[in-house]
Amino acid sequence: MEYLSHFLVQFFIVPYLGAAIETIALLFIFIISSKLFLRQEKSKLFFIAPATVFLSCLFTCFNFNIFFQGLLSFLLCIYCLHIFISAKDSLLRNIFVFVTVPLLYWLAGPVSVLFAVCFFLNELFTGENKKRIGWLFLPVFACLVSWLAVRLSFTGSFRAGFLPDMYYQTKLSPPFLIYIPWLLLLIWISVATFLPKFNFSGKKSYRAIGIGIQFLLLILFFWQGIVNFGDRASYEVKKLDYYARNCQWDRIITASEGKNMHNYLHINYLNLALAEKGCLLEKMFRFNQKGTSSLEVSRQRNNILSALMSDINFSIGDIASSQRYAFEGYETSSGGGSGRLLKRLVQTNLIYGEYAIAEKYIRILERTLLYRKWATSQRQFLYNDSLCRKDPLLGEKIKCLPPRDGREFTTGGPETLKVLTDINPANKTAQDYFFAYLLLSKDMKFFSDFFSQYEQKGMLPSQLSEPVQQALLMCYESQSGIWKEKGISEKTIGQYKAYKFLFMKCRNNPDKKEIMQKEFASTYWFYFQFINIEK
Amino acid sequence: MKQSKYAVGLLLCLLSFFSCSVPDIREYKDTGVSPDLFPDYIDVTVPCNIAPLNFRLQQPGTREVLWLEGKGRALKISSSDGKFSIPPHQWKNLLEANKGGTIKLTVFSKEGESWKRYNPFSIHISADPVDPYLVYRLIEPGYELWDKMGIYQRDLENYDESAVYENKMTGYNCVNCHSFCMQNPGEMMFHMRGQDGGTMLVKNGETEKLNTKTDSTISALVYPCWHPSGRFIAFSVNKIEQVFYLNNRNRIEVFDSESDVVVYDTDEHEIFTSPLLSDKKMLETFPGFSPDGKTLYFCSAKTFPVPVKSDSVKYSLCSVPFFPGTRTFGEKVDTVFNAEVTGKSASFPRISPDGRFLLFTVCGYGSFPIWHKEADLYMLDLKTKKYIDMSKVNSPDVDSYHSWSSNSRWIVFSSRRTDGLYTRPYIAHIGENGEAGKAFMLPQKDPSFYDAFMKSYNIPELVKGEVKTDPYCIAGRAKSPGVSVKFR
Repeated sequence: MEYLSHFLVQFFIVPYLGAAIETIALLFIFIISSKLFLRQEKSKLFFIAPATVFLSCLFTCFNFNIFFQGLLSFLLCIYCLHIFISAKDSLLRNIFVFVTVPLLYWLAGPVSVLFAVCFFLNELFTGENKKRIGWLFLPVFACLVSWLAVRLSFTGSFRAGFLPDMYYQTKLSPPFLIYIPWLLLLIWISVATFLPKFNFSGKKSYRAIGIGIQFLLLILFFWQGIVNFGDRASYEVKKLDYYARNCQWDRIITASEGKNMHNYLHINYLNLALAEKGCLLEKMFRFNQKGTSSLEVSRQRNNILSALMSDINFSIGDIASSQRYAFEGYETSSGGGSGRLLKRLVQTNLIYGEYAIAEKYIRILERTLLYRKWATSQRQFLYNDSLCRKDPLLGEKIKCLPPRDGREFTTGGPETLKVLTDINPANKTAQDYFFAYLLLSKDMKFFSDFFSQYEQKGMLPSQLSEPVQQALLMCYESQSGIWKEKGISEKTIGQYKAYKFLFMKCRNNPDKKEIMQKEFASTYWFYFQFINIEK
Repeated sequence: MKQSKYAVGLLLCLLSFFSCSVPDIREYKDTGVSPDLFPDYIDVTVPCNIAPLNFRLQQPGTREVLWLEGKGRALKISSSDGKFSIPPHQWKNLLEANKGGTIKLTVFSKEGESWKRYNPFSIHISADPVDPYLVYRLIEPGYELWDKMGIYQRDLENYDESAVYENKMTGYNCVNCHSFCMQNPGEMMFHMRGQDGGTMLVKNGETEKLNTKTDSTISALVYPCWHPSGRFIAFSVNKIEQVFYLNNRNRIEVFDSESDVVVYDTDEHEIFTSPLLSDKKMLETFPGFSPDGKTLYFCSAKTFPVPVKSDSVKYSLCSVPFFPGTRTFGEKVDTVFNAEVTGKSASFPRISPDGRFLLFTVCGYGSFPIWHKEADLYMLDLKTKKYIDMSKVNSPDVDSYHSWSSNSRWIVFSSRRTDGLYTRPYIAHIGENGEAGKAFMLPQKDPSFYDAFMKSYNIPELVKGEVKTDPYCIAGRAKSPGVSVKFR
């Protein structure tokens, strides 16, 4: 199941194909659980039973820490249950039921315990009187199999051996959500026998009421499930991540317009998109920024952020950090790998001229269905420095590198950004990130010192971006004689006067922030004066 | 009807027989060049008890044939994809018949309708067996994050690999620095970090958890080496840091900001040291006992501001007398390898069990040679005080952590020569007088195994038999409070 789920997950990169695969799996769960719970004609109207199982499985799909393997294993479990429960009671069937338990554990993990307990419950309520207690041996046998798996170290912990914890990110504690499909299966399999007794199919009015109540309960269940497990917060980030992965920078910017963003990851994606479009400094304050973490969330040792961190560092030309994040993300990815991050590792190793290792990664990608074409296209760069330099992407990043075997370190933050801009003054992304960092940190001395340094070295553009001009005006407010010399435009000067006028006018007004925001929300002055940041 | 079924079956059997049979090559053209093989097993020296050295031809034709010829025996193997899988039983017989001799291998490749022959090459079969098991940690050659890792053992006489301990048993924590007492699989230790952190000591069939951080030492115990008696283990205690280069072949610089050497007494649960091993102005690390247990080797360097001056930190290889009876050290330190004279840095001193050779790693600077491309193995003959030529062992890439077989005739070490990043175990023969044979890569059943394998072989250690620890019991012991060691 692990291999099958990893195989299928590779298709999730194709829009809607992942959703289609999950929908098919969920539909099978619905169909099979319908057959399982509603075996008798009189119980057919109790669609709430399979529907709740279906919905609970759907909710698990929203949580990206729950492996797809869990859903497939659950499907296999109920399929086996359906086969054996609907089969005629015979010695052969009973032998196969016992054989299925270790087989199921080997194929799909702890769902074998669920299978055994469910089968026992079914037999307990429906089987022959003499045999029913005898089936208690089945869950005991399943527990023994799981215990042995842990005891012999095939499985790491008892939770992973007996519970769906095996289908959750290894280093995290699973939420209650992961147990809901299991609990529902246990409940419905227990009551399935009694459902026909609540026969409401006789009178039409009873039938309508019964169906209506079920619909209402399902709507309530669905609504509560979406509220509690819908993971709407991560939906935005997942969407942005998809756009970033496919270099759809305009879509990230469009998706951020008019939004009051509080999620640092969202702001990180936005700033990356602005940088890639070459307008980070120009447009960043049109969106709400919240300190230096808006550029790159603190360098946490968290594999979830690896792809984003790798992308940001690749964009600014810190290839070492990009490679590091891609590598760590790859090695800690669920299932032990990620085509996306391996692509990045191919690129970083080509940039460094580490062709043997790039070739190894290309060879691995060539074994996949969806990355094969791209991987083969990268073969031309192997052991060919001049072609790498000529390539628009690789060549541009190669220019960002300091001389080979130098002793410059990457520490992240402004120090590395400064090193990168010193190495390659044409590296506009690094320079924009550097000045963006200085502006967001609100350290005006830091800003004016570095501005002077860059000015002396002639590394500044002829036309300064508006936020930089606005910051300069703050630094040299009392020296109006040098404003023009510093590159501050008449427009900015006029705007500053208007800002100051309005501020003086409403300085005692408790709503001054809102008043200033209406007129000057997209200025650096407003950010500096009214946005609180964590230092 | 029934008869025709039998006929089809027979035909299929015949077809499959002929398709798998080795073609009889009578005419061929000599290429005049050696075959390009992976792994490179041309002219290597191998132990008489090693698993078949399966390999592949890097540029295969439409069909390949391998002839293996030795004293009294010959083998022919056919391949349709360039990979040669030598039948284990026949390989074993071939080695047995040619112990101390040489087998000749000839590769033929078919292109179109004609065959070409590469230059034949030899594999030397040493009569010296290698210890049957190799223990290593499998981990991605990463930075700070990891997921699954473990310590594994490989049966060198076949391809069987089993776990000694996997971190899934204790919440995917870090496990490292496994070490054995004189290649004895029954006496071992390794560290665990994280929530259930501690040093796991396996001795006399018992597993003990040790809490090894004391108020008098700068860290918990780190790099180990057992005293041959099994009573003591020398350790370094280190404050280790790492930085990442922007553009350097070595990627990462790992360095100590402080370090000392201490000795742990397994009977008394005590740590002791000497001022010579814990000088605050010096960095002392990588201890290693001589096989007679009377000398403790270690590496020592002057401190410099790190990481800025980390390239100035160069470790000399030193030794100091050790008196196990009184748990004391001599008062004079000898310098075996002088960093100031050579301008290089030494690490991992390991003496052959017969006491004749001192094997250590040398790199440009620092204490973490695995991230130094220039790292090579050096071997000093302690009898003649001369260095042995190790050119057949070393490569242009990293050649680092090493250990000896119990008969002193084999070394195993980790090398990044294949792709520059993933360390692979290499085994080399050391003659009685120190002549080093060409090293060979740990053979795998599938010669393409290493292509897609994304983990490094870390700390390869040869052992005399199978490690029979119970991971479940170790995990259980790890969750116990453990014994806190004292500093004397």
